[in-house]
Amino acid sequence: MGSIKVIEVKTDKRLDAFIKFPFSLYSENPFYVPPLTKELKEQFSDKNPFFNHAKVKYFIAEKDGKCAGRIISIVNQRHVRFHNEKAGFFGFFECVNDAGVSSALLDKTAEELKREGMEIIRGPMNFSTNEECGFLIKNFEEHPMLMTPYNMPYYSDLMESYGMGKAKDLYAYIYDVKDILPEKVLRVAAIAEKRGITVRPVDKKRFSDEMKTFKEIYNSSWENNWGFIPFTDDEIDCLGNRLRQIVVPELTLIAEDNGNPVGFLGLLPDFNRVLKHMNGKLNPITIIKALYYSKKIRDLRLLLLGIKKDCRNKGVDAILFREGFKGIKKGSYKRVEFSWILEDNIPVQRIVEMVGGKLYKQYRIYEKKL
Amino acid sequence: MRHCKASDAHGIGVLGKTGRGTAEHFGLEREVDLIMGTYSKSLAAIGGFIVGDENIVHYIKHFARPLIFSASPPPASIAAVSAAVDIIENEPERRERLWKNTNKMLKGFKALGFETGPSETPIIPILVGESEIAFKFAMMLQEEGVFANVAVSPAVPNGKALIRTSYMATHTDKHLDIVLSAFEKVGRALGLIK
Repeated sequence: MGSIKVIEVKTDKRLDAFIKFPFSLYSENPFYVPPLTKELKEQFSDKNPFFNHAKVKYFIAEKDGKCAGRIISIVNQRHVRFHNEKAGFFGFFECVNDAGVSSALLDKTAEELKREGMEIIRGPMNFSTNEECGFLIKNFEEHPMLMTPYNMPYYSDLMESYGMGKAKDLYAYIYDVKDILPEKVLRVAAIAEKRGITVRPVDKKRFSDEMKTFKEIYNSSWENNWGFIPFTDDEIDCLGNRLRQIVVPELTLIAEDNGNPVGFLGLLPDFNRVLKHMNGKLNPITIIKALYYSKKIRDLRLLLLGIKKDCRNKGVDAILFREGFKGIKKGSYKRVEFSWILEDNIPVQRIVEMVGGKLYKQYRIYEKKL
Repeated sequence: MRHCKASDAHGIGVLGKTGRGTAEHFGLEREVDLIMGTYSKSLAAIGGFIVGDENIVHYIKHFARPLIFSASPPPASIAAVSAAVDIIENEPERRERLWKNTNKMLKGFKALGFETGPSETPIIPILVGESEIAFKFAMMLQEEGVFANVAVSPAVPNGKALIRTSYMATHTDKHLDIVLSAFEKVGRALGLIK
């Protein structure tokens, strides 16, 4: 047993160590996709609107003088207020396979959260349910798609050995693109059409307005979902800026009922295919690589799907899929991942199964009383 | 092992928030192992179904005599069922209309003085008593332009015969008022109501 030290990150040098740690941890792993260091730094900077309502501290663990793990403690006031629950979070967890190190990191986070008056520790959240969350617990043999988690298979053991239990499981479904959609989708889409529901691609020239439309639909349609926190205007702008570059209009659709937006479907090309070859760096060489590999993307992730509450069970989902499918074929995409979906969100699981999706990955959010 | 089976001929397409039947209505979908129903009511065709775990369904296929000696449902019937399911799932306004009609009729029959029992579905029984009265009632209704089935012993206990009325989402208020006035006229003539 070597000595384990948990240190709060306060200097740029330590932040660098925090950001770089996964590169060594996953150096032998063929599936891990490193995020762009520049983008991560931005996410950790004051520019991130999340920090307007959340208090965050960064820690790294050192064992025998070497970085062996990292974690973030998060007190998200919007969660506390919206759910009326004193739950604090941990995020950006990475760790060597050593329960001593992970326990030291979680202990430190628990201590921080307790000091802030929290009664539950829950995670991982990077930083909230509106971003990456959960540990992958099933299917480690595939690379993660855009903005989905990937981690070492032993993380669930580390969590359990700390006394963490399951808070909620999240599912990812995969659909191998066929020549045609199941007939049922077309029949149901026709019902929506008869009602006067129409679908149009997003207008990239009015992108921030379109993101506001999305926000309105998302916030109203996700309202009753476990762990949901509504987007703020600043957060939507920030997400919009991140997505603007990769959004394909034929794959990002808005459904309208006589001109009023009622549903949203956002299929995004799996840019992780590209990031994989950039190794976290943004320089002339990696940019050329990015241009080359971006043409090779054949996977899509259904990241955004929302239908306003009073417009559900009216075929809006089917007509969005029917139109989205045209974009999928046009771009010659081969697979679509639907993620993530709450384990108990049966209505959405049924929609995905109607299209032909199969369950293929599972993530878990852990929690423990403080 | 204990199994829970729901015979849901009257519930499918009608009960529950999304029309999934009695189990959905009571929030017991996870507790019910087998659901049996007919295609001949809300699904607008003929035939029926049992849904449950694959193994149980295999067992039923091999041991249920009525199934072994039944012919397969014709494709047209199945197409009608598929279309009906699409409509049930995606046109909830029809179900709302059906419940509006049902409530109007329950209220209407009660106001006239008929006994409708503890009925809670769009199939409303009117209790008339002796089988003979039920047959007479149905014939007289037909003369008024209203068709209704009778349920007599042994389908119901002796002396508890009834007229069975069924409602659809496409019935208009005008249709339903015709039915109520026919029942009023026949009920009075037979001395069932004052």
